[in-house]
Amino acid sequence: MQFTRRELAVILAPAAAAVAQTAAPASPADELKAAQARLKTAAGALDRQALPMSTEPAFQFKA
Amino acid sequence: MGDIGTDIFFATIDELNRKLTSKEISAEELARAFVNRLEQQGPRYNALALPLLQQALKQAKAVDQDIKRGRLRGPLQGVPYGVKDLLAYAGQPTTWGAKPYAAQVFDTNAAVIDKLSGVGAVLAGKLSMVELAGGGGYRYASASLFGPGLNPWDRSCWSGGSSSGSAAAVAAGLVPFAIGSETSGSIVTPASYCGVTALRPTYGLVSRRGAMALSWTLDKLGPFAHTAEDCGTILQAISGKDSDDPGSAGRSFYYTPQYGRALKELKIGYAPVDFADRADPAARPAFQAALEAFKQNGATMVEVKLPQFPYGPALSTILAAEQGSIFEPLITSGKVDQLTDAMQIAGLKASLEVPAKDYLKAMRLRRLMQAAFRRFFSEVDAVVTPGRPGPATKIDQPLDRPAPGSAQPPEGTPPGFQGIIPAGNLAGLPALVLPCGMAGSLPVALQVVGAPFSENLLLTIGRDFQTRTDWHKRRPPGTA
Repeated sequence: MQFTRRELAVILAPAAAAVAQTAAPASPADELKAAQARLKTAAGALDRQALPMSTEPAFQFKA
Repeated sequence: MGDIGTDIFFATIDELNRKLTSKEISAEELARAFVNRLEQQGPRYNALALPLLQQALKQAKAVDQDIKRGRLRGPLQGVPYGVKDLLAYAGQPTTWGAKPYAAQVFDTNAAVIDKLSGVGAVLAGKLSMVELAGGGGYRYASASLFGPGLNPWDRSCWSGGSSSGSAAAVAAGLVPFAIGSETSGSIVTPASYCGVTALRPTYGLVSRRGAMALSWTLDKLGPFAHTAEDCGTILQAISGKDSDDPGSAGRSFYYTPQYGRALKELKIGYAPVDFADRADPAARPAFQAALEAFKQNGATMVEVKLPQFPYGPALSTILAAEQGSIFEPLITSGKVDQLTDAMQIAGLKASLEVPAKDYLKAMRLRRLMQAAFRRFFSEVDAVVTPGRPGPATKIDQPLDRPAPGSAQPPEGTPPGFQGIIPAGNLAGLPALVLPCGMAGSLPVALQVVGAPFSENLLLTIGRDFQTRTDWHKRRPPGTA
């Protein structure tokens, strides 16, 4: 099976993007920055959720 | 005792119990056979943390005396088992799979070990795991004091994590059953990759006293075994109230297959896309055949959607905040740098910086998720999805990148139940993993998820599936 360059680019683009996004950081400092960035991204996703004021956290305290 | 053959290493708990109570084999003979096999073959899969031959023989001799005197204590009496090395066993190392804890010794047993001793089960050894159950996130399967967990079906592939040794040891017939733990996927993933049956119980049903804490509000302990039936028997033995575990639900589980609901009365949800575009291409034929086999159970199958929430971000925020507090001494002392995996080290360090507002927001969202699942499970009794979208990855595959051959669904593909592992863990839902086919030389599995405390229902569904399929009876090559 033969592909044109354009077809090949379309096929490979998602995989290349995924690899680029998650390429292993080179140093411990970069690794820490990447971990901090992941937590920040997670916090951003949580911030987009609306919450009623009355919603209490899901942990228990028994007096 | 003559040559006991290899069939016994893959026998169910009921089969072993019949051999023991009929005195066809003694508990001592059984313990010796399993511990020897675990010692000899466990290292082939990096599954063994610590063999316990002398302790097992002592326990087994006591069991033989009890059987001789007619003191029968149920189906687990005399049956050997293994535990993930995050459970304390008095006087012996409990490493949590991590170098900084390699010499750690506790002076009491974990609650599940005491409970299993109470019904006469015989601890054969401790099993390997991903370091600190992988809470910081890890890039390579090698993130373990014991080396990468090797899959008994193909040792060039991973056994899954973090309960790597528990799954591999059962798959290879090194123990009849094992105890593992799950915070988010650590039972479901290795069971799926190794082709064994496993049960993640409802949060709070099994005491975690004496288990390494990773996340107080997410951690659960559960069994790996050969059948759904075995999982029910084990869960009955290890469940129950424990005032020393603040997360304890204060209830027990009684395995009552005789009172199971008729399958034709059940409504089971699924998303077709999970078995098609969201599954790895190599696994799709197996998943589609499994879904067809599953549909023969007489239940009404309905297409459903997973309630939409940011499950992954909520779980990673909660896990980071709780593990940051738990492992703060490790992190601030600098000993965290002794861990194997650079991503794990960085993840743990970063976890000290989670703002309280983020943790609280995630925990508040969890309330909404619980409410959404209450509504969801008023519409269906259970949901069935693939355990993982595909088979085990290669041992050197970076786990934070897509594996070659993994599903690359076209843009706009519905999400299906791809978030079911974090969703199920956040909502404390039970899940039963059932081997359901092969993708090439590797097994794949279904998971059936239900409402909190619906384990008997899940086990009824699992037992039915296993009476009509034989995937759970398949043995990895070279394990004879």
